[in-house]
Amino acid sequence: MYCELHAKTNFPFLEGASHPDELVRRAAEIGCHAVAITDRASLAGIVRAHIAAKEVGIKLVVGAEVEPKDSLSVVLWASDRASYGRLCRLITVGRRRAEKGCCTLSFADLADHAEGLLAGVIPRLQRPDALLPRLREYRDLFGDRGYLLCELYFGPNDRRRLEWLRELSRQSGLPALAAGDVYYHHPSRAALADALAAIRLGTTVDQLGARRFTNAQRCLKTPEEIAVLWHPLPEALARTREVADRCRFSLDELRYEYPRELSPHGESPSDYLAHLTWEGARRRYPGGIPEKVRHLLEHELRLIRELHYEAYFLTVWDLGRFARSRGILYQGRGSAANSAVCYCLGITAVDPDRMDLLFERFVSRERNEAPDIDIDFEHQRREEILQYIYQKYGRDRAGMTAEVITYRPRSAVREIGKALGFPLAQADRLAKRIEHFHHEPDLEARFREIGLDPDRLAVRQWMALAQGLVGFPRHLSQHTGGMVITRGPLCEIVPIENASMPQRTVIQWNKDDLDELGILKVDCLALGMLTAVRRSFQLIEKHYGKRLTLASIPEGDPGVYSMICRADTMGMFQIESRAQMSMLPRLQPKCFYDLVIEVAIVRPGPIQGNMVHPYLRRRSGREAATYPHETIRRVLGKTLGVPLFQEQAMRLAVEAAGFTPGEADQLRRAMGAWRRPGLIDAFHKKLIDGMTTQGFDAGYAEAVFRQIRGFGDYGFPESHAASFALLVYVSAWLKHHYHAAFTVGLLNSQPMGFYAPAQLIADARRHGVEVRPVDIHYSRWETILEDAVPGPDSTSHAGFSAGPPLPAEDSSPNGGDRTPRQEAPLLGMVDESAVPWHGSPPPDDTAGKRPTSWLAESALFPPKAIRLGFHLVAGLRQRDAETLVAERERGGAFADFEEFVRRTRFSRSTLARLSRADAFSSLSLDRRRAAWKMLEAESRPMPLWEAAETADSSPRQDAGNHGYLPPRAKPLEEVLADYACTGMSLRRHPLLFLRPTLRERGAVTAKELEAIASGNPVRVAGIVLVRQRPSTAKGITFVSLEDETGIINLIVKPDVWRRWRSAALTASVLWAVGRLQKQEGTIHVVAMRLEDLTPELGKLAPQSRDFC
Amino acid sequence: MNTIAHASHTASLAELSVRRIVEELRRRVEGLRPLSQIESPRLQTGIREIDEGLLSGGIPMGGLVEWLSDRPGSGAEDLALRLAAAACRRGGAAVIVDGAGTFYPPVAFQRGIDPAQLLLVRPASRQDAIWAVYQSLADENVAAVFAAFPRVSDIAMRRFQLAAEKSGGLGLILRPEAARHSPCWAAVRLLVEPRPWPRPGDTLSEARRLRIHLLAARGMIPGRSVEVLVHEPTYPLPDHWRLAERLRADAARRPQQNRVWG
Amino acid sequence: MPHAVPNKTGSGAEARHSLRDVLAHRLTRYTPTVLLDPLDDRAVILDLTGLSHLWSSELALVSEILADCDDLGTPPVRIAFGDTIGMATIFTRGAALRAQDAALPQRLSWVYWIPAGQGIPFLRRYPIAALGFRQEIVDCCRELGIRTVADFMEIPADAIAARFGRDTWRRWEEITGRRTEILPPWQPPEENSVTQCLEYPCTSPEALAFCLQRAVELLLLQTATGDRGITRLAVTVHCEGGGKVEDSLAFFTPASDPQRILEVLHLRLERCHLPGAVWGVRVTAAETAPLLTRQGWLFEGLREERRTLRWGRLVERLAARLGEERVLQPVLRAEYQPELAWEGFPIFSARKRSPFRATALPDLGPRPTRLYGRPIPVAVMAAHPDGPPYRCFHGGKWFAVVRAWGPERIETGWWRGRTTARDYYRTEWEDGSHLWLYRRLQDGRWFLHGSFG
Repeated sequence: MYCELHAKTNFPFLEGASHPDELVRRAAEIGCHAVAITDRASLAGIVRAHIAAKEVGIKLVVGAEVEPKDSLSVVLWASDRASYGRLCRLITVGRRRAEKGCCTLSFADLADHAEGLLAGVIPRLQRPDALLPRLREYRDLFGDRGYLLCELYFGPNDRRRLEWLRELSRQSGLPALAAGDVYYHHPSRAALADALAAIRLGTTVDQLGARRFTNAQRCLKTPEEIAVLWHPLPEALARTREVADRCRFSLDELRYEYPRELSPHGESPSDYLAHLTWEGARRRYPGGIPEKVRHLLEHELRLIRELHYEAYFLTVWDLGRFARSRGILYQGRGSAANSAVCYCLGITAVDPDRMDLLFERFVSRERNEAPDIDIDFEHQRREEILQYIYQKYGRDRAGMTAEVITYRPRSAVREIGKALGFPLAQADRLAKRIEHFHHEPDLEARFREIGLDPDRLAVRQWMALAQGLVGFPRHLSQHTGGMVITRGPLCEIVPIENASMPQRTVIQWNKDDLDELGILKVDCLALGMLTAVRRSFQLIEKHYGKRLTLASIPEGDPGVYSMICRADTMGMFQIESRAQMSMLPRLQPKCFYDLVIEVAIVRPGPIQGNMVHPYLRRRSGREAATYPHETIRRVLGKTLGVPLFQEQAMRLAVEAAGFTPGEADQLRRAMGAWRRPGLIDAFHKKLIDGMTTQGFDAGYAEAVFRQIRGFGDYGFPESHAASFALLVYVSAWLKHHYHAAFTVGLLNSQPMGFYAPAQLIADARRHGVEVRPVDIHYSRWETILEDAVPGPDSTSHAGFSAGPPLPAEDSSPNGGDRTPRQEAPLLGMVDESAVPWHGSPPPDDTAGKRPTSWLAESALFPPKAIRLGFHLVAGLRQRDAETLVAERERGGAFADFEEFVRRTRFSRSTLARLSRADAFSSLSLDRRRAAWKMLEAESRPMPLWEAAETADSSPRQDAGNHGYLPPRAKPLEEVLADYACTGMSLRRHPLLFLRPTLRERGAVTAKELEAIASGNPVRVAGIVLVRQRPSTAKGITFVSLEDETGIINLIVKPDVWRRWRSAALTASVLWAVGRLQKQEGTIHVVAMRLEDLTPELGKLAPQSRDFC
Repeated sequence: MNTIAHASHTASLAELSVRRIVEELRRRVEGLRPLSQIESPRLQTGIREIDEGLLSGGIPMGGLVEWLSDRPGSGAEDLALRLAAAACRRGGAAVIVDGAGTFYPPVAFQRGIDPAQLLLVRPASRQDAIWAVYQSLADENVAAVFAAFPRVSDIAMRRFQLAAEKSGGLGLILRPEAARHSPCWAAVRLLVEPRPWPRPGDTLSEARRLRIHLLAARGMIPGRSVEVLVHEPTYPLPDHWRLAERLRADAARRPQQNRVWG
Repeated sequence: MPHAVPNKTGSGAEARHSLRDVLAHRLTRYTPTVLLDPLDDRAVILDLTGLSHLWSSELALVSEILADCDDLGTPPVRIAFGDTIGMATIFTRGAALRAQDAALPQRLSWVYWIPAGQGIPFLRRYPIAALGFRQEIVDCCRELGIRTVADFMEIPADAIAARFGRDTWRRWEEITGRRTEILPPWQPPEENSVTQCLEYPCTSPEALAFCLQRAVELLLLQTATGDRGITRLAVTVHCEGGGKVEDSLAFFTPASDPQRILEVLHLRLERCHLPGAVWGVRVTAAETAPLLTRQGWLFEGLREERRTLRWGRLVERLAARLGEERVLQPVLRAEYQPELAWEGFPIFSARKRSPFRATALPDLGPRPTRLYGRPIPVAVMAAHPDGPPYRCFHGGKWFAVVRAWGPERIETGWWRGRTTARDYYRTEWEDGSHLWLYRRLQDGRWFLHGSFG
């Protein structure tokens, strides 16, 4: 009985053309007794193969192919756990030595790790006479564990090759062993294998020539084919069974062991954990530990002891302790995180005393499920944590989880197009049309769109191969933060390789693989909001003298909740997305738990499970919460009978359908993303049957199943939601009370969140925060807070009052006025006095609603203004900005442009960037004048600085000036130039300039929408802020438009999107005709027609095209 | 019956030196032969029975060799190509005059003819073919001319012989067996007769069995014949492993993983 | 100084050059001074200074030029008049920009006629980009808010030079006519040809040979003076009654030796049928190249090349007599499909080609010496559907297959749209011949594809 012992999956990237599970399933289908997965220097695909092998009941032999650079390539198979460890170590040695993606080994390395491994030597070498000594070397090393791999692929004379192999085997003493060197599971994949080779080699398929295989025989062959092929050498065939039987190792044998050094010497982890917990509890509750918490702690500690999870909690505690010592903000989340123990250990800030309903069950005794704690750290400082882990446990015991980057439709189409020799531009054009948020792109339509006929064979091949390539691994990247820490060497569990970042290593498995094998990892994630919060805290401490921590934010602030209910949430954590924003007015969160629900409900799981509307109806009292069964009330009581959290779905399965905890666990795994979608349907019958026998209505059971399946895509565990909700509240509180500081925190933590700096700044200005432009005299690299001097000019775009004495006005005829406000109206179309300033304080009505707490907090301190930093200037290097600031601090203000150039010695491009950013305002130079000055400086005949320094600033040395100054920029031109440089303007809103035209065309503003009744047709226009297409929205795209009065939410349905695709996809200024939709406090415009208004703006600002 | 598959590939150093001595000895023996033959270098097919047993050490440059056979796939062309390759190795081009338009150049390269030195002429008529062979033979930069003629006049053959003698090139003319009765102007006329393999179904070896008759030869005794085994001069290993090797080398050279993402 | 600049809107650099030559050639009818615009390789500039009296009006001239262009079959043209060369080119370029802008139909020609002396006021409305400054200058102006020529004219003269550099200043002066722009004149491409006529039409080959010899010798005197030789020679033999024979000959290396050229010429003409008595011949040096051979000997490294040069003479003769397409250099290709594993290139085009097209050549298995251009269908009996043949019907009779090696399976070409899937067997037939057979895997039919030796 044949066992295929030499097969590659698609994990040696771009080589094999089949997924691991496809190979394994096919092997089982054709009746192989066992199959080996032997990727080249990799075990990255082995766990997937392992799962598939268990499912179909075939034996999996674990192995890898390695290529010593000084000897023959060899396939190694692990016979037992120890030899598996050596195989991992061997691969690690080779991988760590080479650059990312490569493996460098020598025969000596092989010799060091050979014990217990079985070896199949591949007889290939250029010089036949050099073959025999190499083979004998292998025989001497492996003894009776060495074999000679004999492989046939329908060559010109397989019979002779076989004879040659037999002879080689006889002379070398290595028994002949049949194998296939399989690259794909089925001959139909041969074309894909060719395409992969072309992609790998950066060529096209027709240029591959000899670098492709002669035929499609690198597949798994059926026993009949094998029998014919190996007929002359039956013993080689029989030996495959022998080798497979000698390999007794299974991945199930891997046992995870916790590190030892977690507790101080002499103390057991259990005692130490208890010690730390009670100590923490006393600190958390200085007034005495509440009885409920004491009870919880005892219960949890007992459970932890029983399940031996102390080490895990200690590990997490240790990371938290380290972060605290460095002043790094962090927060734990995950199923185990919101336990009382975690609160007392300082891992989370969610007080179990306040949230009693939530955390009654965090670690299940029945299911032997590993506890799950993820810790979010500040994104700018997470690296410190990772380095700490490496330092503490050593690189051989700590590793980062891999993330397998796979081909998505867009990349697949592009790469296959290139491989098939289609013009690069065509492939790119096509790829661009495949929107990345599309799950299953309608490839054929896309092909038609760019004028390719899908009926043409070449195009059909392109489509078919691209579809085949989707989901193929492309490379191993590092997971965003999963760290595996072991007691023994990690590299004996899984091979470790270099990551692309220096000083980083990554293991070859991803988190699903680790989960499958029950190997424990700590997720150290990066969260931008934590950085922003920490920075806000620092600013508040510095400018307002108030010290804040995550835990010390006062709870239940009604002002904060009313802000949230208004969906005034831009910049806040999580609830700033369009979907969340439109949910907030309907949900009307009033307390912390409402935020937990808010975070969890706007997720693909609940949305696809159709749970949102029932919940909202029940919450608003339009529908009574009904529970068909008492169990249901127990499980779903707090969410009004609607399952919103992942664990509720699982508990339903256990309590209502009689699943064992183990089965519920399988159910959860089946929800995992990468497995086949069909798998979960196997649980369908079981669940329905279970529920009906328990006396549930079949219809209800179906609904529950649908809901559970909805979680298959994305469900949120309650504990995650709770941790996130805390950050939501903190960010909302900060925004409410310290908007300026919070905005600065956000700006300095970019990139993060949904919105670009420009939008955050606009939001701050809408809330009355003064924002001041980048200026060489006041800005630093980062954005800072300045004291705002109240006065009539305080909302002007440049805060001159705080600057140094201004240099004398130059006396040119058109150089007098400085503020663009007094400029003549642009093209005579805008009536200056009639339109409000974009950045003016909000009208009185909102100001009146401002909660009193805000006044109380800020009354003691002068109002703050935001001074934008140089980091917002496109292309400016941090080093240059720091030079500038240092020079400014050393030598004081700059008298004029010449002095600035002389002192900073900036290059032309740096000066150009600053002038483009209009940073010379305090020298009363607008950007055009600054640019002109710059040219002047450049045109000096001799090195500028030396000459000027000796002459001690001779003012009018420039002969070529003649008083000429470039033409004044018109207001719109200034605004557009602002946009071109920073993507925003502190002057007027661009839409203001278009407004007369828009009025003529019948458009209304965002503000005016509020007064129009729902259902009315409206016309709107605005600058496109965001286009979002949530995967749950059935192809609907949400577009946010901004005009001078606020934000308009546009809903674009797929057919409208398709019809007006180019405008929808590319316009910067969008015109929309649609119907107003008002629902529970949200205002949407359902678009019916779209138009790109960008050229209209261009027409207003005379550009180069306008002539004759 | 044994053959040397292709001596240059497999001969060891010791063998080479032995061969050198043999050659030296042969040269001395040939001092007894007519002068014209001694001075011109001798070309060998690499099959000892033919080179030694039949051709007394090989074929001299500057003449014609006629190969007679009565069917396609008899092996005559293969032997002729070996001689052409041997001639080219001494420097000079090979011209294949292919009237039938079926000659397959890759096989010439497999036999060791430098592709840069191979010219394939496909004349439209027999006259043109004869003219092309003559022109090529007369050019002293051409080492060997290979041509097959179903029919060719004695006059043409005579002119070929003269041109070859003058330029020192080698003309390899393949003719049907029926030509055995025409006058022979060539230096050597050989008849190639394939013999059936004694053991049907024995596919281990690709060797073929041929009987070669020396029908006429200047300065040699005609009428002799030998039976030989001719092996395909391919590499001792089949080819697939080479491809895999190359794929592997390619893959090892470029770490494709960080190609896109860095 | 009026200038007219017809600016062709056609595209394709290669085609453009020749088209411009054609156009320029025709336009020499109007003025002896036809200039080339270095900024635009499609433009031709006519200097009409002092010539306007030859036409009733400039517009009359335009219509004649348009008629000419029509005649020549050029793509649509744009014609503009300007006081200076610079202005005229700007007007055509501005028109181009405008045409793009308005998506005007490109099949129409455009004429921009600005009265003499009024160029500057027109120019003021043009965008700065039309002035033909370097792109960075244009960008810089845009940043400064200088958009039109009028804006630019605001800048004091010396500030222009100081801020934007001497080039910009010079260009500006040329446009405004303060400095004369000096442009390269168009020169007709050289044509080297010699015509020789006989005193009376003649059929004797000697007369033709004599005539040719004279022509070639004269041609060589005319062309091969420097270091150049002829690589392609066009020859036309004019016969009585208007008939003529035209042919062209390639030379492997540049030829400067009349004997060599004549020898090849005769070989070629031997094959030609002359339609009547010859009255004259015309020989043209269609392509020339530097005489490499002389340098060749100087460098040791070129020895290899020298060898090919020497047998190049043979190649020339063969190609002349047999036709260039019948003298081939075989080039190996990295293909598994046997008939695609090589390609024959006419030796003159293959000259610069490596004999190996691709770097990765497959190692082929045993290959036949003869491969049939079209595989011959044969009836075959095989032991089992996938097995080797054991009897073949060929030439009217059955042959036993004594031995068969294989199958060598070749599956390839899916990307060409025709997947080739064959099982090749090398077979030894009972008569001892070795033949190459394959089974087409799609339908199991057998074909004879070649013979071994």
